[in-house]
Amino acid sequence: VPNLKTDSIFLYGGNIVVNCEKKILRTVLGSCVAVCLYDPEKALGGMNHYLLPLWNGEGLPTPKFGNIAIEQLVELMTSSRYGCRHCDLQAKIFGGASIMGDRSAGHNVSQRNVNIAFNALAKTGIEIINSDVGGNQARQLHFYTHSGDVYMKRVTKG
Amino acid sequence: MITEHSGATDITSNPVEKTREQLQTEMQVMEQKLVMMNARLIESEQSKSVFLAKVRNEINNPLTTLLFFAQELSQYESDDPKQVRQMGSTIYRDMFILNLQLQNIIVSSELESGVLELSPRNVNVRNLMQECISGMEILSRGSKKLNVTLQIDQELCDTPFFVTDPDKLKSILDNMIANAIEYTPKKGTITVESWRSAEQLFIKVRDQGSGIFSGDQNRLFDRFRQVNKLPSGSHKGHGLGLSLIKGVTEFLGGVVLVDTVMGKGTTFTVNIPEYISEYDKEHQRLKNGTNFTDDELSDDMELF
Repeated sequence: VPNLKTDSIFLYGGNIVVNCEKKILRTVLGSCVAVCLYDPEKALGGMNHYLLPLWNGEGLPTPKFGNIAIEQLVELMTSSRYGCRHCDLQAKIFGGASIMGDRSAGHNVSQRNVNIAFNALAKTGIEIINSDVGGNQARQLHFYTHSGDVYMKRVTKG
Repeated sequence: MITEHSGATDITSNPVEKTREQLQTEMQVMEQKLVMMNARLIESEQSKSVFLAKVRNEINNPLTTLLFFAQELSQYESDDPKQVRQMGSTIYRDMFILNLQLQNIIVSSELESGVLELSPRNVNVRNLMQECISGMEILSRGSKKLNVTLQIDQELCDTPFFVTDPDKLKSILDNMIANAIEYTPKKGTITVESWRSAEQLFIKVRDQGSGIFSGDQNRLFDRFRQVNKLPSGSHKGHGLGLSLIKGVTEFLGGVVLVDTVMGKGTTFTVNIPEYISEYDKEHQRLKNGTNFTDDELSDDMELF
């Protein structure tokens, strides 16, 4: 079992990490969304963490946008480097909380972030086996890349 | 479902009617938004045309000087090194001005179109300021023989690192100094001061110009609008510098203050907050208001 202090990688918004070693990918999600992909055949996993739903065509198409982050994560895992097959991949989706309350309600970024994850994954044909999205509490995630387990904790206001 | 009261249909409780009304309201709101958007687009298009016409002038003027001196130099028959050096120096100065103006035009158009990107790094502010001042020597030392002094607060000297976008900060500084050079009379002094307070960086540039009329202060930061501060009106400025200082400072989350005394000079003070990433903000907020810990795997974590 990987050690949280020595074998973990923290993902900031706009990061994508795929790892075939025993690692824990950690992140904290508010309105952001993280998609965890796991290949049980190869026992490797990858995760992204995006802030906004769609790239609007301006500036660089970075993985801080959901459509780009999901596409890049799938491409990376199915590339010759990792060699995963679409049919083997399993997805788990987390995040998209409305933690800003009414202030972000107008833009509905959190809900749009969640929608893009489900829509983009549906197009790729990757099975979504679990998810915990929405609500109004931030989430803390630990994704074990060798087992595909995701430990999640809702961050409650003290 | 339709509810009937004394034979009459109550429309308000009809879900279809309700949805229709709701959709109509939404459509009206969308329509209003479209009208507003259209007005903004027309306005933007007009200002873009003005901008382009001005830009053409800004580039043409220094280019004419450059062409003239380059041609002179290529046909120059005397081997007097002093004169050659003088021509070279003029070409360099004009190239420097042209470069500054082109940078300003690029940053301004990026600011205008909202595509300016923030690239924060840990910046050594002391070194950056020294670099800016020595880079400007071609303008300050030249024929004006100005004295530019730099005063950096002890705290900032000891801890000169500040998280911000170095290119944007340099752009602000270059323009503040260029503006002061423009308006300070020959052999005058320009004072650049800098200090930090908590997570704020302050930069103050004081010139010895003639000051700004109070009536002109409101339009000081307007793009391509020059306030005629010199009695002769003979300044070479490009009318973009101050609007850029304001725009870029605000882009970094800061403010610009102006303090002017007629006949004595003008002081521009820029105040920029240290950059904190969205993630750090969220992290900090969670830490402050919650029982959040990310140090160890908690027992209360749910498995998915």
